[in-house]
Amino acid sequence: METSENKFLFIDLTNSKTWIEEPDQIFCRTFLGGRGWALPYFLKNLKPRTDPLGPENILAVTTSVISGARGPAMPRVIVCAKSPLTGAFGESEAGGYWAPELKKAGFGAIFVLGKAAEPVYIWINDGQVEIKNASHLWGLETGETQDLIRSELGESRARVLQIGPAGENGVLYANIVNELAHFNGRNGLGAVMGSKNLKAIVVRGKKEVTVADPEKVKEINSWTAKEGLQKPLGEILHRHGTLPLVRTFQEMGALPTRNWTRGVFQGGEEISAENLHKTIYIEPKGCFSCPIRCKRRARVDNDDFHVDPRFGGPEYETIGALGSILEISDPYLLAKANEMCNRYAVDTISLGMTIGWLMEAFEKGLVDRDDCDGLDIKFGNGEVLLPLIEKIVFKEGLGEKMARGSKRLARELGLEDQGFLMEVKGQEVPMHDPRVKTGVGLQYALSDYGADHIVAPHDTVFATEDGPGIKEASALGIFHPVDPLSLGPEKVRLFYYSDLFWSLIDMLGFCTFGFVPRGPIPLEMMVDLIKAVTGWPVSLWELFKAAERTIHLARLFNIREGFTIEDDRLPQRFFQNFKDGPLKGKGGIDQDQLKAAMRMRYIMMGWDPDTGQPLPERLYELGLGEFVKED
Amino acid sequence: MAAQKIRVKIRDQRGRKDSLPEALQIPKDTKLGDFLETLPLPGGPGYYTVLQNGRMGKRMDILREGDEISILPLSVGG
Ligand code: SF4
Repeated sequence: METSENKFLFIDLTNSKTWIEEPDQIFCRTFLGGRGWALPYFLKNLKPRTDPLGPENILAVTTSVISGARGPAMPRVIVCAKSPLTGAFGESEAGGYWAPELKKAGFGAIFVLGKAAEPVYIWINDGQVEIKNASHLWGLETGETQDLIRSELGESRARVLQIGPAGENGVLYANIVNELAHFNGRNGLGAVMGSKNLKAIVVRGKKEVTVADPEKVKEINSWTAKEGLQKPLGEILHRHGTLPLVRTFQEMGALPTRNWTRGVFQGGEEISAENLHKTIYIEPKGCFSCPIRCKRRARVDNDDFHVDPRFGGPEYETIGALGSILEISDPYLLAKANEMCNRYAVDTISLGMTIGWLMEAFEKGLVDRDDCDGLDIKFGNGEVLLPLIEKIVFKEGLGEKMARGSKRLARELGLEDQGFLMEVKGQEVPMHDPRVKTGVGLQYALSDYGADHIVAPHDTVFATEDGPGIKEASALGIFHPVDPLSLGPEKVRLFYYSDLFWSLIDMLGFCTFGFVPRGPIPLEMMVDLIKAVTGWPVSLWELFKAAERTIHLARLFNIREGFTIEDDRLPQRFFQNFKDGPLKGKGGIDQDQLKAAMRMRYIMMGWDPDTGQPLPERLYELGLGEFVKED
Repeated sequence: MAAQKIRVKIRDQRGRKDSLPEALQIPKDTKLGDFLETLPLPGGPGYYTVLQNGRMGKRMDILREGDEISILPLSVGG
């Protein structure tokens, strides 16, 4: 089915020029959306070793061939650029309402080039594009910015994708937010937007998108609302979001605590889902057309804090990074810290982990109060949390160095080799310990955009015969359980397939929480959904090939930027045993086993096992011959 | 002669309304996997993280008097 809604809008901010290119149907079907649309353009138009914060970097704000249809769990906007945090290909997805609105306004993707001479925002109204002055918005928090833009445009339903002060100030882990509570959280893409003097991209679209079989899409949405929500993973997500993980990891002894030196947090009960629901959370919230409604909103109104629910509420990752990692358990303080990060649009994982690294350095006597602007940066000292957020976002004092992330902070303090940096490719690790699920470790090490937890479903769902991975995701071809702790060939294969699957989900703007084995919707239904929206008779095989293309293209991008197999690694701490709790004396990942697993993975991918570089034959097989480098 | 019974404790930490009993009498020499099958767990045991006395439970392990079984949400991705 031909649709005109996949048009690419190009905006060169240096000379205020805009133009439209219409990709043909074969391109759309071959690359589907998201990074599939961004990477071919980047490889051809973004020069190697470009400064990520220079005008030559390209910001791609994309949807996919299915975005905008009223299906379940498919709201995501995918932002790509060269990441200032990692120096590698950068990508981050956010739910919410913005991507469907862009499709309704007539565009599939926006490529932002150059740099505006003064702050601007882009206003796209039903196909009309305007670059507007944003000098009066520069410096404002996200809530104020959204209110002002809507009021000056006279469009209360305009969807605002924006940066906050963190992106304006070049914090290397600044994020991008839409509807104040849905974040393209990782990789510092907010700083790229800020470097272009671009405050926001605002869209309003009133046309429904073209859908080949609207009845089928409706049927799948109703199934999700009725039957999907009865399924255990759907029900837990709907009722508690991601927060039940706090208790699960705490009980297992693998809750990231005290910069990953412990697996059990004494204040764990206070940050459990049950207590957070008693203290800070109000009703759940959702995303465009999705019946799962798994997002939380926090409201606090007490003598110490006021927390506005418009800015969402902390999910598990934030509770871990600002809570257990720092040994802070006050739910009200955590809700406030989360709200501040969201008002300023800064990634809570990298921010919490950067503070966590500094706390450990402080406790070890490697830095002192004088180095830390007079603050007592100790684990458990909640009093420093809000001041540190301010310092980082506005780059005051020590905040200037902390705004560059833990790796650069450690390097600048001469402490890079102390063995407690928890990052991969410069991005801080999220709150899942690979010592209890080794496949997650493989993906942390291999991910093209640094450590991330939503690169693949986690080992645990494939652990038993009757778990969701084996029982419900048999279309993946994994018929037998795989031990969460193994690093053998079966694990490498599982994560090869899982990586393809999650890449597919990401490039289509699907939400990982929607689909088995992470959520309730079966894979077969996912394929039906894609067919129903596009009218194309696609198969899972064809879709996985599309996903595989993007993994290879991202690899090629990173090789151009100087990345090698040495960068596919894990932080040292994951090779050590747990020091406390039920897992005491156990867990350390075997380095040789990990190395062997990585080597096997390269071979499975069709990469040279000695260099990790995609082999020309594999690129030809994927139809990527134009990216083969002639020697 | 009636089969000997043992008592196991259950910590239902799934955060659901339909909670499980705090303890159950079960026949001696019951395997963890067989015991889990008897519990009304929506989706089946594979949808939960199960700890036996605070450690990851193995389905083949025999339950002993006083064992504490924790049923938690599955540790899926965030
Ligand atoms: S599952 Fe949750 S996060 Fe995903 S689209 Fe639905 S409401 Fe949004």
